Amino acid sequence: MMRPATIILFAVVCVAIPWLPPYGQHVVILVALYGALALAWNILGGMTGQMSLGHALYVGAGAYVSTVLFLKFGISPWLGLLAAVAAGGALGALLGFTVFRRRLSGVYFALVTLAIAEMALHVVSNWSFLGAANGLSIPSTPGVAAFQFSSKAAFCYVALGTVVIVSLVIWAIERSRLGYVFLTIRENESSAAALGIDVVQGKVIASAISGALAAMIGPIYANYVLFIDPESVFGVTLSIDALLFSFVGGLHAPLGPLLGAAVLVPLTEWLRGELTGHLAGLHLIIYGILLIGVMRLAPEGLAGLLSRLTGRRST
Amino acid sequence: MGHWIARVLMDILPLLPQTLADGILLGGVYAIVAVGLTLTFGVLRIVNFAHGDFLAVGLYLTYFCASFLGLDPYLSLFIVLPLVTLAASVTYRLLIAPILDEPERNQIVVSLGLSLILQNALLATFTADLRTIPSVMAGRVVRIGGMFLQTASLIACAASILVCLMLYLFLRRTERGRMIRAAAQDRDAALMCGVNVDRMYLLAFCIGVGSLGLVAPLIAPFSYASPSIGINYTLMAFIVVVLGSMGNFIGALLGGFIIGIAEAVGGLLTGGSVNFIIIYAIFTLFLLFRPEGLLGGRRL
Repeated sequence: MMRPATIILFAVVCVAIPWLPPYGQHVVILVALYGALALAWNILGGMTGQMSLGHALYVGAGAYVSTVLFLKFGISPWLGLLAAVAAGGALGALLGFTVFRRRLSGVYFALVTLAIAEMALHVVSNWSFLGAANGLSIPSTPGVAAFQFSSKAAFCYVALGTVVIVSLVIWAIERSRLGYVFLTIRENESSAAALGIDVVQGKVIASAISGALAAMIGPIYANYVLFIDPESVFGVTLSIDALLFSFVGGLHAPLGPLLGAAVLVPLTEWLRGELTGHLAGLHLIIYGILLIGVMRLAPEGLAGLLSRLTGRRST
Repeated sequence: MGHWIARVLMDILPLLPQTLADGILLGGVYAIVAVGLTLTFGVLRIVNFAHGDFLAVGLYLTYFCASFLGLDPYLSLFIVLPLVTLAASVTYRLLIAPILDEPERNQIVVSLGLSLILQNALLATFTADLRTIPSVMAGRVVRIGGMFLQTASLIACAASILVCLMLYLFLRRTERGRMIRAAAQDRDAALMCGVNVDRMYLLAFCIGVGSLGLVAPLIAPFSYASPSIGINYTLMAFIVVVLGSMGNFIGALLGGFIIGIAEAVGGLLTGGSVNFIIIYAIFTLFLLFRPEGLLGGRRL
């Protein structure tokens, strides 16, 4: 995965950031955050083969944990970020433990994650301490201590930093025994069990790591936009986006989900600019067509196409 | 505590019969939407996340007929039902038939893609504004005992139950129904007995999804059209289907009423959208502890 081309491309983006217009920087931030989310989703969805439709749960939990700690208890967003990751990991482990022990998989797993995320959305929407449906605003106090940076460029580096962290975790998993555990579970659960792998434990670990990393996106998003409400961080669209970017980019290539976000997010932004309010939802129609097209014509996603073009096995 | 009990006795109890009736009427509509889903799942073994979006398409067709042709929903039924059924058959040929043998995950993703396309095509065409659909039945109520029931929702519920029973009899008593069940139970054996399995699949999908073309005009007088309404119905139908056991018609009816009543009574007791929390909690508990549903087993 750490092919020289990938690293060079990443370095070029990093160097170019200060010269990009603010809007370009905004797009880089969005690509990085969505890319990191899709990568985190893919640890459970692609690497372990358990398709979640509720990853907004972790993003939302992370965003609310750090924001509430900051607004109500005055705790630094940096600590909030750590708390968010811990909360996401705990939620992922708890959810995984409850669900996988009952042997739910396939569509049942997708449905139960969707239901739990929707439940969280409605709980937060009705909880006045958390701002209910109106959401929470974070007062603008630029400064590194408050996790708000004076320039968009600095935020770009933070967002790219999350991508690096998630990628490094994935890289470490792939090089360790855990990577093979995940792969064996994905390919054949009975064989995995026959080999002496604790299938339930493997899935719970995947769910916890995936949840912790997804929860990291929440506080960063919150401190970038300075406003969160239940629909924007717990909404089902976010869960579907994570799945969509991963599928379009390629589930089985380590950086496929990032590639998916890097292609689709700028496309969305460009379409939004071109249409300026006409034909709302057009980009989602295109997403739908792409999703079906990729599924039918190139099941290995864009990353698969790319490696077929360059004649290598994986990106 | 005492105060709370007093509140229940004074405020809530008198409203309970009315709420239960509302819940039952709502449940009938959920039941038929769920029966469509359970039919496509039971026969084709395909999980269709775009199910509710066909209902949204039906609602907008009804809206279109009402605002451009001046047709009452009860008349436009004769246009909407064939059109939605046609859309179902085209969807089967183009999208569903090619993925029948693929892994479940790919089927889920393709139907999610279809859901995105339908939902946003409606959004692009009709904008996000909620549309109410005029009808002669809108706002009419009948009084039964101390309860006031919307005539339109009474009609919708009665029609739903009737259609559910007719479908049940069709599957149980007719030759064609037996062929559909044969295709559902064992595809290869059915093929060897000369059943045209592909045709039976098409038929089941057209009935399962096409029935939404009947539901849409019937709920139009007391509902509204919105592009995102489909996903709510999809989720609700899944909940009902899981509750009443996948592939089980009677279960779907039962599940529909339970969820309808839970939604209405939950709304009365708590207000806000807390009733959805209750429904999702019931659903999650069922998935965890009784995934085979109330009645268990596949009995198509």
